[in-house]
Amino acid sequence: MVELVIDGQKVRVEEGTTLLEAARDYGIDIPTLCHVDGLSEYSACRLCVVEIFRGDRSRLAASCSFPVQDGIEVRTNSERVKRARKMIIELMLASTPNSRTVQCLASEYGVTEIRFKGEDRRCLLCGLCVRVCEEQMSGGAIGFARRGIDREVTMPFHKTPEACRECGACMYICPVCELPCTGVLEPGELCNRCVDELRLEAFPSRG
Amino acid sequence: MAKAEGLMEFISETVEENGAERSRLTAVLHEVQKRYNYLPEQALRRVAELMDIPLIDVYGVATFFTSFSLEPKGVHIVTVCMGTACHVRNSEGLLTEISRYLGIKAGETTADMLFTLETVNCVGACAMGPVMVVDGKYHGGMNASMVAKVMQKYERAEAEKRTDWKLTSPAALDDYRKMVVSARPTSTGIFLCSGTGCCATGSDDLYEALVGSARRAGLDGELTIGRTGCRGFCERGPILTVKPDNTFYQKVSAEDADEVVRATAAGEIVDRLLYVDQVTGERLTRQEEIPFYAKQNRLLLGANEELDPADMECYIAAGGYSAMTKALFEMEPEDIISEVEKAGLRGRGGGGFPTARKWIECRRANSPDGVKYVLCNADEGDPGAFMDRSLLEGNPHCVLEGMIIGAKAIGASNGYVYVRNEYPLAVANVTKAIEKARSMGLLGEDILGSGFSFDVGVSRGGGAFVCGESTALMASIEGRVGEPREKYIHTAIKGLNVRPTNLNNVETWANVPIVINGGSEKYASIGTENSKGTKIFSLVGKISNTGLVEVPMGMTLREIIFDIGGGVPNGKAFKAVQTGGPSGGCIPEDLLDTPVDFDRLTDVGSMMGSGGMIVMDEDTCMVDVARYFLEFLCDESCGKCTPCREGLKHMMLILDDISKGEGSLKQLELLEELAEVVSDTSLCGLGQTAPNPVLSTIRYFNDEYREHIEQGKCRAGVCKSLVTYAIDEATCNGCTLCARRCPTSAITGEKKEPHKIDISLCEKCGICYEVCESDAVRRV
Repeated sequence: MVELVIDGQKVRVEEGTTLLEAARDYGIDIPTLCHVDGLSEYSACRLCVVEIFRGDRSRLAASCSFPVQDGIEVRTNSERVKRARKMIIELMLASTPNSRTVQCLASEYGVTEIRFKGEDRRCLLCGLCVRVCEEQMSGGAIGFARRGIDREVTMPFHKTPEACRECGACMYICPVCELPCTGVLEPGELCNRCVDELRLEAFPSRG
Repeated sequence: MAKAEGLMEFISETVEENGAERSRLTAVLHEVQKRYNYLPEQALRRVAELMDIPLIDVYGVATFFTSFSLEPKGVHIVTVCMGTACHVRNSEGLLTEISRYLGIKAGETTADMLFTLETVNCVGACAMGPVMVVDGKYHGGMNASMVAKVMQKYERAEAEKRTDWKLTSPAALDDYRKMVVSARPTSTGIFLCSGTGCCATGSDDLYEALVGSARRAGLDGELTIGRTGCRGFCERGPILTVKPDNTFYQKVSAEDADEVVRATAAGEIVDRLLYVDQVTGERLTRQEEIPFYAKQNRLLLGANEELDPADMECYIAAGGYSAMTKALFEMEPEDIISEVEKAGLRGRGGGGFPTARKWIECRRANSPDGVKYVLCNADEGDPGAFMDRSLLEGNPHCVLEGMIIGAKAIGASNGYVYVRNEYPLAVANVTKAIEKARSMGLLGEDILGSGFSFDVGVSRGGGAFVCGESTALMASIEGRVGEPREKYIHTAIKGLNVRPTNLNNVETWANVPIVINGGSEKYASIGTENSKGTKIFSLVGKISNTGLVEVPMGMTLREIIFDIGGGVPNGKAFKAVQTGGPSGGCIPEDLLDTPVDFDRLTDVGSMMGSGGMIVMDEDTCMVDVARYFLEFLCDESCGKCTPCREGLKHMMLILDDISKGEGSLKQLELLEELAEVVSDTSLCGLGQTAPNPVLSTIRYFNDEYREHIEQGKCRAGVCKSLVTYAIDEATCNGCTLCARRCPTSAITGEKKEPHKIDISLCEKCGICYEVCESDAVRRV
């Protein structure tokens, strides 16, 4: 068993557990996007970063893949974490404003403006569809191509391969293909409708 | 069995060809003797059977004549003529020396079955006596002192021919080294750099020309024309040195070959090809007199100019693989690691992580099937750096030797050199080195009979900067996309193929044999408290002497740039030096006394990196530099994680705006904020360090950013949107040069009349500004 402290709370979990699993076991919420239970770790969206203290030094790490270590102190909501999280949400909003998931994250974590030039992309490159296809459906029909800004989820030569059984799992799991956020009319717009119009109580984690 | 079958077939054929009459017996036996160097028993039985001659008769003939032997003989038959004429010229002394050299008496064969020593009563070459004959070739006028040279010719030929010939003990390696050393030409020689830089300026043609000139001058035996690895002073290429004086010629072309050969043979110097001191104007004869070389400590690179990278014998002759022998036979893994630790060796790939700590972690890690890997990172992707190319290309065996020592320390059985596909010569040289080392028993199964086995393969990259990152590199070797993964579980525990893997950079590996050979104490005497040894930098950009420089850690940037590099050319003012490549930062003039040391460079917001050192002058715009690196990194980001893919893109867009004069101070703040998050949250080293060029330029050259934003001004005149070109009518003498050079015909004007630039046509390429001899073109 490994003992550590998360947000001031003493935590005892089995070796090999990730920080995300440990935190959730103890009822501490950490936002995620590219992580889904049952799929392999991808560590790409960086939304789940937490601050890890060892001695007087600290660093940010992706909780979804960081294995628990004895004696570390973890803060899931420090100023440094909040600043990073908001910036990542803002970057996602700038590229993919029509994702309801991302707009909700913005509301939940207090993103109130988009300071970057907006685009209207329909993919967050979170890789959920790629992993669900390969790992759950034994499909391997879709994957990533190209790199950097040109990276895309695609099929070989943009043609539906035989491996695709049109099961729809990729669409089911996609955080962008779902019902678009209805609050956004123009690319680059911030919704925040849930907060401003619907007068929902501020989320506990809003900073 | 295969050999016996072959023998029987050979005899059947021979008998058939010669006929089975008894008179053909000696002819048949001669052919068998010639083919096998002796008459095997089965052969004689078969001959008797086929020719229908009693076996005892065949046996009788075979034992009667001295030309036949029933004992196996060596591959080479050395025969010393004991005829009368030779006898009076001391053939006895010659025989004694050959006997001593081979360690056998006349009539015996060496244990390796290479040589049989025989005497003959006269070979009829009496005028040339004393004579020795090797495989039918006559060597006349021999004396005892000439024996070694003749024998070595055959030994070397044998060594090259036999790929299955292995060195199976340290003693065998020592013998081989002695043989190679004594066979090496000691006479005068011309040694030509064959690195990529010099090849680009015509080194290959020059080599052919020199060989041709030497042949025409009848000097091909005496004058060695050799090749060496990269010398580092690439801008002066092709470079060659004349030994033993070390006369240094630069910018030599094929047309100079005849003159160089003639002068060398005559012991003269070709003045016009010497290096001219930039300050004093004096012609300098020897390499060590040239300021570029004088202040360096070429611990690693020094070997490059002595060795032919394609010839393992050069490396062996220079003491190569002796550190490996020491590590394999005299040291326990813990001893090796402890030496490396005491030497204070830190990773030369950029991070400066203590090498021994990395090795210990990998040594302690468990592998499910016992397989561990040792890798060499030769994916030198920093634009403007070529230290690793030079080392791997110029001295590949040194890198291999380091890897073998590391493998022994770690307990690794396999390794790879991961090298950029853009470095074809490095790929070729390291591949050749591996094949040769393996064929000689210096790599592979049971190295030198030590019981330790380790083999290395070459894996080529495919043009991706991110593959210099350890996990991306390993993914690429595995045949996957070069995409990094989280390293919370270190690659030392789970790396290539999910096995414990140790990755070090080319330069780090090249340091290892030096540490083991010279000892940690000697090594640690070079450098600063926490940065030991030397570091190679690729000194490029706006600097008088461009090239690779190797200096002891702790030398200041100022010494490197001004004393070795000769400062900024054309009377321009120094502005900054960029170290660490796209992950590093720009250091301003007031910090030039910072010593090169892993920690000090990090303190000033840059990093050692793998060794790029790019000098910038007043004509360099720091906003543009930051933008350049970001553009590079956006291209090279794998695109997996959000901050690197999206964050770098937006950083670049902001810098784009600033460079066009469309930025705001608020954007500058956002740029800094974003940069910090990108470095805080990115998945791998590429994204984590990518903001460094931006943050360091904002830190040290904030006023330039502000000028772009507030005044729409680029003081260096680089940012095109902020610059216009105009011709000063009063100064223009109407020479028409600018008008003729302008690619868009934007400049008009009559001869000897002031010219004008049509702004609507001008593309701001700056050619007019560069060519104007009367400084009439203004950039505002």
